[in-house]
Amino acid sequence: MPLAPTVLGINLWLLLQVVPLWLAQAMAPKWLIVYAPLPLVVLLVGLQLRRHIVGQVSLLIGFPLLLTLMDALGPIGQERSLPQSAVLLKLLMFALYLAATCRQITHDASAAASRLSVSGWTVKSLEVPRPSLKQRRRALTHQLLLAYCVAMPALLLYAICLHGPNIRQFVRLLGTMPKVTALQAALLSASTMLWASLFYFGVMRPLKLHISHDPTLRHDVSKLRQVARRGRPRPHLYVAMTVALVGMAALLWLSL
Amino acid sequence: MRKLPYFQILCALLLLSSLVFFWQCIAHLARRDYVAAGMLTVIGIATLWVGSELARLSLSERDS
Repeated sequence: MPLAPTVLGINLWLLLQVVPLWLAQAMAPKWLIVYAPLPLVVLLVGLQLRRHIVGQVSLLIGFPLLLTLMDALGPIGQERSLPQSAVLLKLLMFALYLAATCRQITHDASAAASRLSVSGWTVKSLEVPRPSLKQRRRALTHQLLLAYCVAMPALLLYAICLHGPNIRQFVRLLGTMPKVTALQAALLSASTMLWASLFYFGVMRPLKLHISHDPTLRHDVSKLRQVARRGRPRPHLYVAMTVALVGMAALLWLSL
Repeated sequence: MRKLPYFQILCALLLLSSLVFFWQCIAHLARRDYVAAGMLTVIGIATLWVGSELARLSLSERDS
């Protein structure tokens, strides 16, 4: 029998049932004294059968409900048995009992699952199906994009910093090597920024939106469709008509 | 009896008239009358806008 739920349950029974009965003494009805051991019996039976649904229901619902029998004592018992500090203690005990019981039940369930024997099973790997043409094409596109990401900046780097004729042209144009190095650095940073921006806005962002089925665009299109189906003119029709009429009037007035 | 497509006729008229405004705009530009050319451009765009809105209305009327 698990220790924590048992101890906490018995404590709860003592606090909620035995102590008030003892304090009420002669004022307590006889049937209540007869029924006093019933929650304890339900607790012990529930703990024994905790792997079955009956035991779990009796632990989590039956036992706490039976403890409320003490409400039959009415205000006589409560005045004596429910000081403020005792209420907090009972609430804490009840919360601890519920936590310990739930933990025990889940622990038992996981232990039962882990005891399941798999030694007699034949483990056989599934045959991996060949990826479809669409998947292969998509993977190839991603690989090409990756290669493009590396090749294009490498080409720019080579053209700006390593290509001999270009460097000779830079030297002829600027005169000294430090100036050429400064120009190369400026060109490299500018081309890197330009390349990164173009690549993100031209390739990666549309690709990402396409993969995520472009929810914003779809929402906009459906909204536009709804607006287009509406048979009433939009406010900008009147604005445009006013602009056209006022413009024509102003033109006539100016030409006269 | 077949209903006359008023909206479509009006829309075609407005689109054609906007072209007339743009043509007039070019004529005024050739005469270096830039104020009139600007005003005619605005009028032409507004007319085009009204025409497109009427086209939308005619389509929605046809669908309903």
